Amino acid sequence: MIAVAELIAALEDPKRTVQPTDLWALDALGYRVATTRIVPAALTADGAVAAGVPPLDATWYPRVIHALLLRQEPAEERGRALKRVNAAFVVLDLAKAASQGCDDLESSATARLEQLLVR
Amino acid sequence: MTTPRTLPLTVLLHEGPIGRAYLLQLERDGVRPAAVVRMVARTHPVTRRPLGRWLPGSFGLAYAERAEEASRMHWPRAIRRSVPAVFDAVRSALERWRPGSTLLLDRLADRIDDGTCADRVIKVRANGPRDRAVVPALREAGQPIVLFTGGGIVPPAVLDAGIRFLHVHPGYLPYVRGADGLLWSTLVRGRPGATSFFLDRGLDTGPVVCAREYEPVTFALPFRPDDQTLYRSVYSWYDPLLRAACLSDTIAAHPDFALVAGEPQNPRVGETYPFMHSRLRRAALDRIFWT
Repeated sequence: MIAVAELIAALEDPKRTVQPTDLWALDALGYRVATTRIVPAALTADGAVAAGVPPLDATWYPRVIHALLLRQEPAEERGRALKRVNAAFVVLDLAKAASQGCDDLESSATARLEQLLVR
Repeated sequence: MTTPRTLPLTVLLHEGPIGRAYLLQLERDGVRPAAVVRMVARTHPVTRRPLGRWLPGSFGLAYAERAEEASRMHWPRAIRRSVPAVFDAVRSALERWRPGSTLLLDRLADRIDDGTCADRVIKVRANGPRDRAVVPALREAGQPIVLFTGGGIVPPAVLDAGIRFLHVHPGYLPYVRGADGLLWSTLVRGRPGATSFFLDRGLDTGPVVCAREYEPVTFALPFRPDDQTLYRSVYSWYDPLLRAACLSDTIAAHPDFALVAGEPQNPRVGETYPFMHSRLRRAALDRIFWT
């Protein structure tokens, strides 16, 4: 879990300039985001509502990907944003596996992150 | 019928749609490689059990060839048989995209004819390029350029053996490097791309010979099969023909093929993409397949 935890910590770093794509990545990780303030989803839905963030529904992921694809930004920037969302999806999978007591999570997490992030 | 022109090229043939598409494209272009070094798997691609170990010489080789072919060509054949609408859609759209594609697609699942695919065919028992038998066979073939057709990562020791490996990557280099190049190209750049380049120790970082972006292709389906079927369809037909088109363009652009050289890439430009997560993959497939 070290690799996953480090990734999340990097995303939570308050000194880091928060970009829209970071917010989407964080949201995919299960965090609610309001402006530059990060509210962990674990603080309950009430916390998200208090932070002024509307609840997410099942159409959220397709809508985010669609919005990314429609943006008229340079392809390189769009690529980096999609790559970050891709990594967030993987981490989300790993987090789900962790919550279900996956025994070999650390090795699989490390392998997947190396494959997906280090390359 | 004109006699095919011999190209100073060795095709390091790894059984599968990509290698087959290359051979068929070369034949269609009226050229044929001077040599083919055909890797015949020592172990089954799926079960990892030894292939033909107990059979004598040529019988063991023939058995292994058949078993490997049945495994690596399983999905193109199975999808074509069980979901013919997908194959038909791909076939007609690719013919519009690149006239003559149907000739390749219709023959992609045929057995490879060792007598006509090259001037010389050398068969080695090898699971991939890192196998010890491969480099001696490539040296024996004696051509200045080797076309890599897949089958694993080429290890540094092989890259350092003084052999120039040409590879066709399904992405427009240097902008789209890494895995699932065709799907990332579709999402990020809105069109397919392919690049021939010489392998170096990096991932898709070697000198570029020919980089192309092509018109977008969409396949109209009467219904939407599951994502896995569509994903396998992409890698059964679309990706191999895209690479074959780029190989054809590469050869056409370099009449003196033996002397072809690549342009170094700027390592600071472009992105290296990972394998695509299933949720993003669906978005990419929705842009390729229409219902």
